Amino acid sequence: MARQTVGVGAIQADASVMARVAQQDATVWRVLADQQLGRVLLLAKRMLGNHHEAEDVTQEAFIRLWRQASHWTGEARISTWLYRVVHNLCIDRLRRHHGGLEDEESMEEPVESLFAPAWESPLVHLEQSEQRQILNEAMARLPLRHRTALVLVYVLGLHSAEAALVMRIGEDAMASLLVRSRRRLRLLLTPWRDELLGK
Amino acid sequence: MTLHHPKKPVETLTDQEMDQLLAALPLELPSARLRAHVLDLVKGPVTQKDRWWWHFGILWQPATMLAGSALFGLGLGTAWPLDPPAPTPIWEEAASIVFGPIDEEWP
Repeated sequence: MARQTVGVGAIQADASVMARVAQQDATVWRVLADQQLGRVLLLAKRMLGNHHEAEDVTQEAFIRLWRQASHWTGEARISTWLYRVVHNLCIDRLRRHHGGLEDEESMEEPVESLFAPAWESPLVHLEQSEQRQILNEAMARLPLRHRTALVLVYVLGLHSAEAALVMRIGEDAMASLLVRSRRRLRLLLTPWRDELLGK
Repeated sequence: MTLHHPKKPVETLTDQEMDQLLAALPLELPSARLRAHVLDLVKGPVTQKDRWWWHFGILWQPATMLAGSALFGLGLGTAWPLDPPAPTPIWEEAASIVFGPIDEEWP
């Protein structure tokens, strides 16, 4: 997936989209929703680990986007803005309902023990291919910050500078986080390399 | 379902393989309920209402209360007589509260 670059043209194009949304243009709003709903939901679900809660957060993010339309300042892309709102909402929700955020350093476990059952229901597992299941479980076992960074950059295709903006960290910190996240994911996935690559 | 660790030596995943695997993760499918809620936002009066109240942000209610109180005070100030009523001794007021009007005659 080609990564998005923070281009002035794209930001201006998004500003004109938001101007149309502010005029209650239903067609533009529908296109925007169709483009972003699945992506926003993916980020929320990867962060929260629960589809129902992820849908609540996604809905809240779109309500905020709708309310923001007539006051859109055009300083960021719509997608970046949405991911940032979703990120903040998920962090708040995890703090309030899930006993705080997990400690990144406390998750230094042996690789073998990381493959305990994840949150997904057996039904979901049945519907997924083995490859996707392995990848999902490995992602679920990563610390919150690690999987968030990976999803933003490698799944949703954000530039690392945009991902840093979403996560409210510096660009250097994001680069370091990405290196650590990839290292840990590689450690988890390497035993299943053949299965993952279909060999 | 628990995945069992295959006890066999394997090569490490390359960066390119990792990128391919991550990029292949599918997007989530929103439920019909979520999609309907989001699309219905365009039908609601939210934008119009917010346009009116936005300048106060989340403080529009207390700001409205303050403005209303100020107007009420202004109206009261202009309608009230300029000369204040003759002062009443405090003890008389207190007694009237406790015992009722003191100028009533006993039967």
